[in-house]
Parts: sequence; C-alpha cells; structure tokens
Amino acid sequence: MIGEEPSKTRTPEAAERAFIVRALTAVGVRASDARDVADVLVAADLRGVESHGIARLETFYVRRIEAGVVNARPTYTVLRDGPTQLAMDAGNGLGHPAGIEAMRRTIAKAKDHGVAFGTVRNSNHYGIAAYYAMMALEHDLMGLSMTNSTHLAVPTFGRKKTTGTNPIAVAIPAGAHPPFVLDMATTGVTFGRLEVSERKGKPLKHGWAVDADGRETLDAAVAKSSGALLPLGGYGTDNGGHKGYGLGALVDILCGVLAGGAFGASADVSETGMHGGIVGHFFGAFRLDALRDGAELARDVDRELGTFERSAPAPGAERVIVAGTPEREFTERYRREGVPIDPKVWETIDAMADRLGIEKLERFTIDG
Amino acid sequence: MADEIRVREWELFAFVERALRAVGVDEAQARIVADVLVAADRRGIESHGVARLRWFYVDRIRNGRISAAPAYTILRQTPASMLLDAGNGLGHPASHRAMTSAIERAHDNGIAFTAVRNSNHFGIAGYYAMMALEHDMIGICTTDSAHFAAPTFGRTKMQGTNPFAFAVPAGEEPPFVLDFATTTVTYGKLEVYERKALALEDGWAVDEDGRPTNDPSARHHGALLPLGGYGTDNGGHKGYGLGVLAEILTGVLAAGWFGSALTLVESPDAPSGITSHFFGAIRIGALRDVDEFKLEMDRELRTFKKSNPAPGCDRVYVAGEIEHENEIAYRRDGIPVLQSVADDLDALADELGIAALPRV
Repeated sequence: MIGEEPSKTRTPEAAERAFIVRALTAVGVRASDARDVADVLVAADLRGVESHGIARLETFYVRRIEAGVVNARPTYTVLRDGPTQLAMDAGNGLGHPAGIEAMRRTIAKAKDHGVAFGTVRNSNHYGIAAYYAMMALEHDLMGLSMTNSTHLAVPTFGRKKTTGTNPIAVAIPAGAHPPFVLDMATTGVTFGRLEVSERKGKPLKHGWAVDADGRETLDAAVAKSSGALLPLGGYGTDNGGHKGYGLGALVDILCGVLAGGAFGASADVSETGMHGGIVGHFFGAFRLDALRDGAELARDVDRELGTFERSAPAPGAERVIVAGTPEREFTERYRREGVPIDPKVWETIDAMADRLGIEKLERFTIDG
Repeated sequence: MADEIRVREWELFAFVERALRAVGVDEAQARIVADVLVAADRRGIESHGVARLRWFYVDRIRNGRISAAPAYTILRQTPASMLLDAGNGLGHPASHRAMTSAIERAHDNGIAFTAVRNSNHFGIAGYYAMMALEHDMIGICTTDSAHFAAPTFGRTKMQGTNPFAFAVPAGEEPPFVLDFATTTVTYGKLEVYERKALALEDGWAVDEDGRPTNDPSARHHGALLPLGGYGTDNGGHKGYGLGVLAEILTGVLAAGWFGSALTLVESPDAPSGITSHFFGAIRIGALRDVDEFKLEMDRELRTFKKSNPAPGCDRVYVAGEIEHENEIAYRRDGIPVLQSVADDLDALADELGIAALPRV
C-alpha cells in the first residue's frame, strides 16, 4: 500500500501470473482471457500499485463471476468499426481482456491512419489504466486510457457521490529515456489511502475526504464508513477542486456517455458490491511521428524529461522525478526481489485457493 | 462596482479590432483576436481578455517582437493531422486556423489533431475547444508558455500554467466546457493577493528555495505550485504530470521551444515565437448517434447539477456553467471592464489615434 513498506513475503512474477490464471479458469474464464487479467494484475503489483493487483482478484473478479453478475465467457460486439474509431460492447465480461482487445484494435488503426480512438461499454473494472496506455509504447505510439467506475467522490460544492476515482493514463515513448507514463486518479487520493491512515491511526490530510453531509473531515473512520473522497484539488475551489471534479466528469462523459454505456446515477453502487456491466473505457493511440521526424522527436522527449530530472530539488527532497519513474523502479526491484504481497492479502488468496480447490500461490520471505 | 465600467460586446470587439488594425494587423486576423479576447471577458475570465491587449499583443507588435503580418507554413500534414508554423504571428489567428483544420479533418476522419509552433500567447484555451461544439465534436486544446511553476520536489520554474481545455456538446443543457490551468492558481491570482496584501493559501506557491510559502511576493522570486499543491500528499505530482504532458504535446511535439529554453521572464522584451499549441477534435457521430448522445449528455450534466449541495453551498455546478451564466448576464447588462483597464485602453486609443471604447 501507498505510504507503507512493502511486504517481506514475496512471490515470483511467473508464479503470481499462473495463480491468477488458475483461479479464473477455475470459475470458468477462458484461459486466454485469464492470462490477460493476470498480465494486468501482475503489472500493477510490480509497479507498486498494490491496491490494483492481486488484492482485488477475489472481491472484484472471482466473486462477481461466481455470483453470475459478471459474465465469465462474454461475447464482444463491435458496434462501430471505422478507420480511426471503434465502439465495442464487452458483453459484461471482465474489463481486462476487453480493454486489451479494444486497445489492440485502436493501436492497429492508429498505425494505419495516424490516430484512432475506441470506446468500450458494458464492461467491468479493468485494473490499472496505465497498462493499456503503455500497450502503445512498443508501437512507438502515444497511448491514452481512461475508465469510469463506481462512485466514491463528491463533486465540488456537493455532498452526494457522483463520480469514481476515474483515472486518466497517458504513455509517451521517449528515445533512450524510459517513457513518460502518467496514471492519475482524478480524486486527491484513492480509497486505499484512507485505509492506510485508518490502520496507522493517523488523521487524514486536508483536501482528501468529506463526511456524509459533505463537510470536510480528517477522521479516516468517518470518511471510510459514510463519507466520500474529494476531487484532485480538494474541498471547494481555493486549491482547484473544481478542476479535479471537471476531469472526473470528463472521464465519465467519454467512458460512459460517448461509449453509450452506463453513466451518472447508474454507477452509484458500492465499489466492492455485486454488480456488472456498469463500467466503460476510453482508449486512444496517436502516431506522434505524423507531425515530425520520429527520431528527432524521441531525442527531444529525452531532453524534455531530462531537464526536469536535472533540475534542483527542493529542501528535503532527493530529486525531481518524472511521471512513471517510481513505478518503473519498483518493477525492476520487484522483478529482482519477488513481488510483495500484503499479509492480509495472503490470507484471502490462500482461503480462496482452498475454496476453489486450486494450488496455493508459492511464497518466500526476504531479509531486511 | 464603482471601480469598473460596462461596455457592449460589439463595442469591445470593434475596439480590439481598431487597435490591432492601427498597428498593422489585417482585418481577418484582428477580428479573430477580438473574438477570442471578448469571449474571455464575456465569460468572466477577465485576466485573459482586453486587459492583455496592450501588454501582450499591441506593444509586442509595436516593438517588433511579434510579426503583424506573419507567413504561415504547413510543415507536415496527413488526413488526420497537421503541423503549422505560425511565423511568429499572434497566437489567436494561427490557433483558429489550426483548430479549424482539426475540425475539417475530423469530419472526414472521425478524429484529428493539429499543432502550432513559432506562435505566441493565444488567449483562453476554452475558445478553441469550443469551436468544435457547433460541429457536434468534442474539442481539445492545450498550450505551453514561459515558466511559472516548480515541479513536484523541485525549486526551479520548469513549466507554465499550461492549461487544458475540453468542450463537449449537450442538448438542452449548455455544453460541458472544462478549461483549467494545471497549476493550483494562476500568476494573476498572486498579483491580486500581493496588491491586497493577503496571505496565499497553502498549496499555491513556493519561495525561491522551493519551500512552501504564504507570502504573495513569492511571484517575484518563487514559483507557482502544480494543481494538487506541494509534495505528493494532495496529488501535486498529478498537476505536475499534466503540465509536463501539455509541454510535450505542444513544445516538444511541435518542434518549438521547450524545457529550460522556456525558463524566462515574461515581459514585452522577452523573446517571442516561443509558444506552441495543440488541438484535437473527435466527431461524436463516428461513434454513436449524435441526438442520443446529446440527450444522454443532458442527463449526465443534470445528475451533477441536481445532486445535493454541501452545507453552506448553494448548488453544484458543471464545468462551463458559471461562464455560460456570465455570458447571458453580460450580454444583457454589458461586459464589466475594470476602471484601471478602461483607463489604460483610453490611453492606448490616444497613442494609436483611434476612437476610444464607448461605455454603456
């Protein structure tokens, strides 16, 4: 979790992948789809975004398939298929294979026509937004990925939850420098951050959350049980809360309204509850070399990112970093050291393995 | 208010046009600049309207920094994209041209994007995004600028206020128009606070060492903070990331100025042609029936607007709604112009030998 030391109990990347495939195929998911989900969840854990990795396997995916609210073997329907655009219905299947399929098609169109975008409706939680944006990188394209979600945040001046954490991810290839990968919730913090504060018995920071009446609260328990998150920029408009709220609404418009799927009040359900088909996604891919020579552009992206990294740090800060760097460093480290999995998550996935009658996930403990 | 006057929209438009014509800008360009500046004032974004006419545009043309009669060059184009060199002309006409091109290309292609290099300050980003609305398209716009803001964990000014604008058409509801600086507040806000000797809010600025400060004089030696404020606790890294994205899509993608080259002080004598812009258009009909889309946009926007307000708040707004209401009121009652700005425009009229701006 953010703000906490990674667990000392680790698993090899390949083992985690295989375990996720075992669990999903045990509840009827096609092997190829299960591999897609595994790839996205493992990428999240490797990138240090533990809240979006294997921790969600049971609640968000396995349980919903078992309950029949998410379709284990969906049929995708292509609603529109133009040279530069795709609209797809995911048949209420898992979000990850649908997202990968839609982004793959969007990338192919962009390679031929310079730019393309795609929407997916009737889908489900798709993991980290960055995964899909980053699919564009190996094709030397800029990738864009967004999703709406169940409602966790109030609008500026409001007290009722009207948007999810509605993330936006953008990935831009560089030359020698690692790519720029921005993956941001449009809320100030995620729900997971409130959980960490509660566990540590620390008050929340200003600008994170409100209580059930829409008043700002620093009480983690109150915010978690009956309150809501605030948009990026915090309470009111003084620090730009209306900007985060606006971005969250934009994501809902592109992923819900434009995709022809669920939006607005229909996503006003519990994040961890039993529901399906209320999520939509938006993807984009751009050939940046449509505008200038690709090699020169890559060199200039390197220069741009390097300028930030070489700029003087503020007092008490070690260095200035660019978007995507911490996650890339986590990935390198966890590939070497093993993927950390939180003790509480180990308990739930072990119990799930017993329940599904599949082999447990192997583990080892690291020192220090 | 006693310290402001009211003017009619068309009078303001005609005044901007006169002033620019007087310094050698042709009619077509002058009318576009006038339209963008008046739109800013009419929408209540007075920092980006006629208040900037002299300092940002007229003076820079008079001192030869900005070309009054630029030659535009299309450097690259495909059916879905174009890169324009603005010949160091005014930013507004070049941006109008590039957004028009994005819209035309999106008509045929479903989606298109264009960029402009060797340009100058273009006014409000929202104007160009909104050009897409009447074509039943979603409009996108961003720009870079000289640097005002420090990156997360940094102390040096490394990016501008780098706004993003998105405009989405609705049916009966006014369109969704999100136009926001990727810094918490703008430089202009610090000026106002310094003039009034008010303490800055937390999360707005750092001093010259990169420490958070509430001192409004920070604007001279310190820097603005990205949206989300100081450090990462409130997501400052997100605003910083969005600001970098804007500069990549503009300065880097358009092969214009970027990085440390843009770390310079804005003044009439500063280098010009340093600004780059990015525009995009998405045709809604390429994905779904436009009428259905608009019907559902109305539902979506009303979901927000009808949701319960927090204690002490009147109502929940959607992006662009306040500006839309300003437009209705100011078209009826006249557009407010600060007395100090009106005085400056009178002096400018004298200097240029043109008719002054009539009051309501």
